[in-house]
Amino acid sequence: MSEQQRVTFNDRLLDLRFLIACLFTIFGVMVTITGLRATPEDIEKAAGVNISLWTGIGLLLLAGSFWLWVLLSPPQPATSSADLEEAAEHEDPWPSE
Amino acid sequence: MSALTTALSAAVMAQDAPNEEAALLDMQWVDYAMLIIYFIFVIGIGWIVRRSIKNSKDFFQAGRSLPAWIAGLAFISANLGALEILGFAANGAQFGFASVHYYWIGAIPAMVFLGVIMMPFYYGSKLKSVPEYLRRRYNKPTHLVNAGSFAISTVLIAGVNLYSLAIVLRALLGWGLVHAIIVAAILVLLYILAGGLMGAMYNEVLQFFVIIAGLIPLTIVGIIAIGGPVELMDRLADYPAYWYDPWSGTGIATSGEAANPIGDWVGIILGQAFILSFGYWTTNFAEVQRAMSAKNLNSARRAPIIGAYPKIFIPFIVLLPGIIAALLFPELGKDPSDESMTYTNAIPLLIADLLPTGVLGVAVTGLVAAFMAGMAANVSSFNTVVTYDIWQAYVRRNRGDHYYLRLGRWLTVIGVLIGIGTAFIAAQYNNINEYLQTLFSFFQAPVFVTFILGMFWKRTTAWGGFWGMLSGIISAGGIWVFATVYDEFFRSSFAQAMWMGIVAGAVDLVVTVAVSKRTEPKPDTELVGLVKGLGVATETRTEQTVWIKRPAVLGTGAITLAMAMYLIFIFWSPS
Repeated sequence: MSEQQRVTFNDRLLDLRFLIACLFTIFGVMVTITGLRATPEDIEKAAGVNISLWTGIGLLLLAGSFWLWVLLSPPQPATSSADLEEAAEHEDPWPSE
Repeated sequence: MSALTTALSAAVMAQDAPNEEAALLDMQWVDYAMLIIYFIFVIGIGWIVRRSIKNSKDFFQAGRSLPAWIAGLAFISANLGALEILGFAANGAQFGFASVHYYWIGAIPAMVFLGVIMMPFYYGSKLKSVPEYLRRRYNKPTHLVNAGSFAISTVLIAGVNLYSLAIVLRALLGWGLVHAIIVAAILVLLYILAGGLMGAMYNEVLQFFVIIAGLIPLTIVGIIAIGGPVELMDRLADYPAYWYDPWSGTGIATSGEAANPIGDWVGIILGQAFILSFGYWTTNFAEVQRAMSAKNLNSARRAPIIGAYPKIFIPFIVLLPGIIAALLFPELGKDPSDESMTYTNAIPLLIADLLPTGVLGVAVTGLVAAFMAGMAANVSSFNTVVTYDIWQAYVRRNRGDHYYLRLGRWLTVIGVLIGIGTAFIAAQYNNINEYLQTLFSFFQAPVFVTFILGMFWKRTTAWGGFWGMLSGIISAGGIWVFATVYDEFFRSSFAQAMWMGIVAGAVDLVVTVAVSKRTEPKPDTELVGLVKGLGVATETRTEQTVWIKRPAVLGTGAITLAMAMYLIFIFWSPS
């Protein structure tokens, strides 16, 4: 990968890590807010634990780790399967002798 | 599986009779919003992936472009359908930890075996499907029996899945049966139609995380509700020993109360683990297809092994909630006529009892996601096998690529329609599911022996493979007839299935060898890449990857960890 191609919005959309991060950020925020507004009955129902708050924080941590992963290794520019085949030939971890 | 649908549908009938709105859960708008947002993501993924589908290879094999972690998580997610989750929770509620064997000694070694040993044969020979191996290694009859039975069973099981989803949605949320079936089927149809295998697999990985995110809080709240892990184990002291010591009561001669209902040790190790689990995880195309979509041989080999690691811990969020439900609801499963308290209701009951709004939405979304994962895996393997193994192999050989791509899309529609039809038939006649499952288990029983002989014994002939497999299937049927007549012979239906696997495998082995000795083997030139010693991918190339990416290293780690998990019950046991 010598040449740095520009990563388009399309490439980001095709990056599954980005999609997972998005969904769990939304879920995390929703569940955390629900947890912050939990009624005593809600807490009593879940054996005395504010489980929505804890789950919400957990979901945000999950989302955060995917954001971090996307940030640390950005998605490769989109390739058609034909390009990929070529790339796979190059990257083949088992070159024939 | 079928017992589950029967029980659930009975539960629903009972609840439904007076008024249609008798929902078990108290869902707030937040919980519904999460379900809707999830549906938007599911469809969105299909739509996003659609633009990268240009030819049949993209559609059926995800362009062979996916990284190992996606292939690996989709690999276990395809199997983590809701039937699996509710079924194993029911097992936990009925027998405690006894069924961990299905994971630690059954699934894990089999997944590692697929990655380390078998994947070079599949991926290295550029096969498009698992049945195709039989066509090239043996002959057309062997291939047709396997491909045909797989295509029929997988699409019918998709229907059973769909029906079970509708049942759960009706029980939990009070949705109408017909609406639930149609809505779920259309969602699955849309994202496979648009995104092909890649759309299905992207969604499976997403589903995997949603399922986990729903089950972990449920289990934690459950443990706290009982009074902590120590208290939980202490309360298991009242139950038979196999509840907290899975190897207890597995002696062949053990009988009565102490007998482990899962089976004896020969049945568990030889029958369940070696024959049936290896057969399922290494030859069931709905599974193997996921690993085969990886971007290179090393990734394809690592995929099932990467999946094995999380799989080791799944019993703690599937079996354990079942056990918690048994402790919290002592009446669970005690009265067979009380349909709302069946074992299979363990997780829905626990969700209704313990989860407040917020987490509730995540858990329900996870359950719905699990059903869609199961169905999508079936539909996306059905369209591939029918296109490549039936249509392209026997009906229309040399058409352009575009023809097969269009065919695949049509078959997706047909597969979903058959699924919907099956779901409605299943709603009418519950016993049909059970008979179908039994019939398909005959076809699955001997298949591992046929594959392994083909890969490792060059002398195996085409007709040896065919007659061996056929007599294995027939003898599996024979064991079922025998067990139906002498219904006290096996200690449980689990044990019966295990011994059916042993007998079918042994018959397959003997007949294959006997016929092969009397028939001409194929010349070596036709077997290149398909038989050990004849240019299998790992033999022609040397591996040059960092040690952490070597399948053998990762695989050994997974098996060691799985075996070490049994040690937990030494430290964690009733005091």
